[in-house]
Amino acid sequence: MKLIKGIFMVCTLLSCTSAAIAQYDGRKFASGSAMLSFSNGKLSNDRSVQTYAYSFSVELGKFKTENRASGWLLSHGLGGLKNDQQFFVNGQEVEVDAKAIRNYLFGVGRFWQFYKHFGNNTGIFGGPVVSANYSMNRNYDQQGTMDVYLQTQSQIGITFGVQAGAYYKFAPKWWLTASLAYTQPFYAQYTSTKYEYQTGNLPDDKLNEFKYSFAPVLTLPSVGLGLRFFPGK
Amino acid sequence: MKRRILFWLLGSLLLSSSAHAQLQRGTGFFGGTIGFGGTHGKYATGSDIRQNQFSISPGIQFGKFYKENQMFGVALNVVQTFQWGVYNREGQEYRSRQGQYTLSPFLRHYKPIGSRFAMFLQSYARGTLLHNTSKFVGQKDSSTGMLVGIGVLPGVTYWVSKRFALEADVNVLALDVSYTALDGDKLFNFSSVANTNLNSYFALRASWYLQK
Repeated sequence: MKLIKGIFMVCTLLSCTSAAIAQYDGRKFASGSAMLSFSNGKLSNDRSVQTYAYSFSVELGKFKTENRASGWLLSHGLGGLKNDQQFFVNGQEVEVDAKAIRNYLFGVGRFWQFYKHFGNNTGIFGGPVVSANYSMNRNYDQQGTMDVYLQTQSQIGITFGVQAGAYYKFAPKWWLTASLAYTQPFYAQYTSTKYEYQTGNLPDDKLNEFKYSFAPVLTLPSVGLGLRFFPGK
Repeated sequence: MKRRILFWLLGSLLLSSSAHAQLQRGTGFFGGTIGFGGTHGKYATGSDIRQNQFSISPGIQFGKFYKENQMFGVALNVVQTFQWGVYNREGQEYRSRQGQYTLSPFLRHYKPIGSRFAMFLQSYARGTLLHNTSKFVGQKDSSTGMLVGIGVLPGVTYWVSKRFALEADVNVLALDVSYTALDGDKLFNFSSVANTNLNSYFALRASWYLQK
């Protein structure tokens, strides 16, 4: 009799907890980060350097069931500067007008996450991430004291990764998340690098490169913390 | 009351024995992994310069538990790197291959945590044969070398199912003595690695635990 009573109690307890944690099904969530920076410096020879940059990334997701969510990742960044750069070509001083957007990035991704909730406020999650991104980098350079060139690198790539993390719910609509491990077993990227000579009479050149890698390795990052917001309800 | 205790005992016994039956004496072990990568580049204007690189690194392991939680095994790892292309505007070609063949007997001690996880510590000895060949504008070259060493690897195992598991380990301590011979030049090298930065790469491996 006692045994049956015990089983009954365990069952009620279980149904209670499952009812208590049935709280995510169908809910949407968002998290993100943003950066904005300006700098203004004065060099000793009366020239100034100004830099500016911004970037942001957004994660938008939705719980499909109590333990499964999927969503989109968006990231974008831009940086530039105004700085008259000096080079020495065969002892001669050459100045290039370096007022330009120096880098640019745009990325889009899709993620799937599987959850294991421990009680009401904590849990762990993990799942695959597929993302595609485009980036551009531009800068003036020279090899030794040779001719100065403007190097413009455009890159397009796809990556497949797996992430794992943990969460703590500290308010009804807010989670604190921590990334615990990340692995990027596969990536493929296409890079096109243009070399435009600013001095001398070398012809401009272009290098097209295709790069791919499959490496089943796991990295444990220094724990990256994030916030997640659940709108509505 | 007695019946309840009996049920509880029986239940816990069943659970624990099924959970780590994989680590019993006599269990066979097989593990494997592979990685590859490449870069292929070409200059679009003005020249015919091309650069290509491809590398592949398969690895397999066999083992057998000679005691509960203790395994003896042998690992074989191969790394092959190929480079080829056109070196300059005159159209001079190059081609090279670098090979590493490592045979490594090891002892592994497991410490189970819960029903699906275990940590292990692996002590190993290894012998590596290095063999490189290259060809530059028709001229052939080759070099061979040897490397012997000992080391310690900690790692974790996660059982996805009863027989199939994923494993990851990281090199924290290694002592190596190497000898390479290149065109009559002989190079003797002693190196040691002590690494406490566990944030570095853990190599992942698929593995099977097979009971008789």
